[in-house]
Amino acid sequence: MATVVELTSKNFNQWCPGCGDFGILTAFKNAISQLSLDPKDVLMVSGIGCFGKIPHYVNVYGIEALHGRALPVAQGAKLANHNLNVFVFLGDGDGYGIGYGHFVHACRRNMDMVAIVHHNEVYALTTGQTSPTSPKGWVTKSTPNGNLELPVNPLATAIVSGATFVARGYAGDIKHLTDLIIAAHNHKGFAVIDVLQPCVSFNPQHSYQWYQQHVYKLDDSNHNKRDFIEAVKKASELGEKIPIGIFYETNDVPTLEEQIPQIKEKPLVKQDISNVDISDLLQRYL
Amino acid sequence: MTNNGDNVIDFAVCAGGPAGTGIITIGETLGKLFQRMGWYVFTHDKYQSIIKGGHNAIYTRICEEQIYAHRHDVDILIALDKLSIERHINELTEKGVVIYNKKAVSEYNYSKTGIGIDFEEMATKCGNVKYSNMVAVGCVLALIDESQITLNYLEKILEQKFGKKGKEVVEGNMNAVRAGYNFVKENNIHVETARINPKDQKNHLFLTGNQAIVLGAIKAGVKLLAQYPMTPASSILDTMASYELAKNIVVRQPEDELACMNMIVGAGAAGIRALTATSGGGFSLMVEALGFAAIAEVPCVIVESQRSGPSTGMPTHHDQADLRFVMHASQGDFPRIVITPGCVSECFYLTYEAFNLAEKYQTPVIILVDKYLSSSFQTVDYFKMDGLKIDRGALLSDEEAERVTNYKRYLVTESGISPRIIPGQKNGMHVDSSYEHDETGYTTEDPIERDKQVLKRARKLENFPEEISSPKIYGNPNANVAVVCWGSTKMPAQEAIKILKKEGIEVAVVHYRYVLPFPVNKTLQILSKYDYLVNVECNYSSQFHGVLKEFTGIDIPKENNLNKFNGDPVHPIEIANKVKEILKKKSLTKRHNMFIESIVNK
Ligand SMILES: Cc1ncc(C[n+]2csc(CCOP(=O)(O)OP(=O)(O)O)c2C)c(N)n1
Ligand code: SF4
Repeated sequence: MATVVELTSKNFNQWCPGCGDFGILTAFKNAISQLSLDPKDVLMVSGIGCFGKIPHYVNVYGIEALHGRALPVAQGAKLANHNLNVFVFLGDGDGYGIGYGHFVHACRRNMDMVAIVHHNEVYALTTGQTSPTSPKGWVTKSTPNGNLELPVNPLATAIVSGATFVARGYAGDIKHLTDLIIAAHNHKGFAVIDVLQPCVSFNPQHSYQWYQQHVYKLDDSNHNKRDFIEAVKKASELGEKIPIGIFYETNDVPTLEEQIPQIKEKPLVKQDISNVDISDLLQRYL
Repeated sequence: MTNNGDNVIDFAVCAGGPAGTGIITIGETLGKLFQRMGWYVFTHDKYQSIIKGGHNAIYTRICEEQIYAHRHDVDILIALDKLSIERHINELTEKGVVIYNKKAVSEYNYSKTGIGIDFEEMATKCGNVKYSNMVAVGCVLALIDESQITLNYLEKILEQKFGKKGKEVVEGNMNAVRAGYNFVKENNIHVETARINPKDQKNHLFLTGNQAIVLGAIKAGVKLLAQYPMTPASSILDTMASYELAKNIVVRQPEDELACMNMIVGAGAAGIRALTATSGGGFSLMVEALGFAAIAEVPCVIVESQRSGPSTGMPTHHDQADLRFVMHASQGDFPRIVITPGCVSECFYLTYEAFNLAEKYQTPVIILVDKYLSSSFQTVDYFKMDGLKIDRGALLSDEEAERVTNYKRYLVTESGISPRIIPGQKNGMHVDSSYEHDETGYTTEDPIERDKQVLKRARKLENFPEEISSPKIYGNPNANVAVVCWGSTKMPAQEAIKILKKEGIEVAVVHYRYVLPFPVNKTLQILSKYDYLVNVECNYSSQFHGVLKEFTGIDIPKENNLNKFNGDPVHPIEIANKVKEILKKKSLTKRHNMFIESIVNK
């Protein structure tokens, strides 16, 4: 329905040249275009961080919510109009730190939407503090003597919390990431894509070059994404090499929307509220 | 059975006992019964934040004429345990009667007439020890009804209430009522009896503030309630959930209040009417998203039902100390509407209005109620539906959106209100942002754009019609003394009018249903008429008085303020006594006159 050019907004892009967020933006526009979605039916909801500016760069509807709160905002919008194609954008600080509670509950809620996490292992917008995904021992602005805490494991968390599609992408492999976003969109249920995103300004340890040497594709191994236990094991792999691709997918779980009879006929937003009759309810209070 | 001087029958029953014994049901059942008989009822419950044990009580006041609040005293006390006698014996009127649990009170040596009865044994004989509370109901009826007519009404009510559980349960409950009734009658206990008789059928409703809020929201077309349970707001969640299928409303209980508030912002942005409800603690978690709604100009409605704070405080007790909090919560300056309904009817009508205002002004609306109003049952006139009209403000229809070119979500307009297009509609693509933005919604830090947007948002409420927000006057508007109050304190204040009238004292009650936008002109016009002002509120620091002074220069002296914060609502008698005290002391109100002259001379 829209070409990548048509999807590109005129707003000035504020990211640093070379930022991994550009790769995610490109892959996203490719996916929307290839999926032939009508831009007016696409809603991007982001949190706050460098990544959070992404809705401004695409010609679709957007909500730039609060730091950590994009998921509940997206859920409210989806409940209001489940015909919308909802894409949520999170950061590792935003989604796995301040918003981790919402993340876990979004997984078990299994609403039909895609969450894309810009994972740069650092708090970039606040100029380089530690993140819940920073490796132990890392020196950042807020951990000059080394990070004392272990990083969270978001993919394993997502799988055990009930997400029905869990994947990892890499911002430096746009073709692969585009395909992941398309697969995630085509999946019915809550789909998480954790995207390794180089931050050229605050994460010198993990550059494009470093990632290039360390990522490998799950497709090239014989990983069974339908096997829950195997998926958890794979997500917990902490070796030298980092797998990208689909870790887990199941189609056996109904979405939240499917279980709500109130929206079977029409989305809430299409329901007439001009004169709601409550006389049957008042009867109970006579 | 107080004969209150005008031969109006007006009496109150207090039922007390440990939590988990169905005390509240006693009050509700009596209330519903007398309501059906055409009488006026008001209940007020007091309970502890525990599930079993402790002390619960419910006061049920019953009157031939319209009543607005509970009374401080009672005529019949039902005590399921000893503690209930000790707590409430002093509230009994001169000729009051105690019906107590014989098992729990081995020796009855109190000054008031007492009837001992083994509730549990009697209930067990009727099929279930749980029917004890119905034995108690029967006892009360025996004291006030000689003709047994109340039993006929009650049978119908129990049928409706327990019919689903089977005939056995209905009969068991009814037998328990009869057993209590007969016991009191057989023992030939003489008490001064009020003749209870059925009155003309009236078109009245009997419900709580929270139930009225739910009904108002449904009537207003609410489509999503996202709520995390918290006393005293929880019954909004439970009640709405029970109607969700019948009325096509989605009710969600998310992980926390952060999620609730953010969810309704998302829902509002996507074009539906959405609600959340909580108490002060939950509202604390909603604060950041409140500002988000304001800057993104997303309509949303939040109910905050106050309880005793700070922090977890006294979870099941009454307080009015969150006024300043909801008025100022969240960083930055932004317009908001704060509505403070004063009674059950206003809970219905003002909740309805709140949804219209939220959409009209594209800004958050907070409905501030409290424990007393949320959980008290009141007899009210059947709600009038004519005159209620949905106003979706500047939200464009699909057809209108189709004709739009060069859309700007935050278009600077004279009224400050910009046309709204929602996701899924044509030609309206934009970002609703928590950042400051230009007219298109794109982030800006440009001082000129910033000025434009701050002023545009502020303009939305600058000319808010004072016909809507004006305080209402009750009692005698021409009296020389006025009681100033907001929120649920209107209820005891209206009763205070009656008490004072009997003593020949005329008083006006000036009640605020809106605190923001503050009705400055109406306030100056109204309050400048009175020699004496008495401010009544359930908090320590006279928060409303501070607001009044800030906006109008009207300075009510400290001694003219009645503050209560012990967890109970103000009793009507306390307001009446305060008025008398101020009239005696002749304690005048200071006015910083530059405000008043400028307005009154207009
Ligand atoms: C409640 C709150 N706390 C703190 C901040 C400040 N803040 C803005 S972005 C950010 C962290 C961003 O890190 P991340 O989510 O990983 O995104 P990135 O900037 O790395 O893309 C913080 C702490 C905020 N906006 N809101
Ligand atoms: S600071 Fe890092 S994450 Fe932010 S825009 Fe620059 S490169 Fe990207």
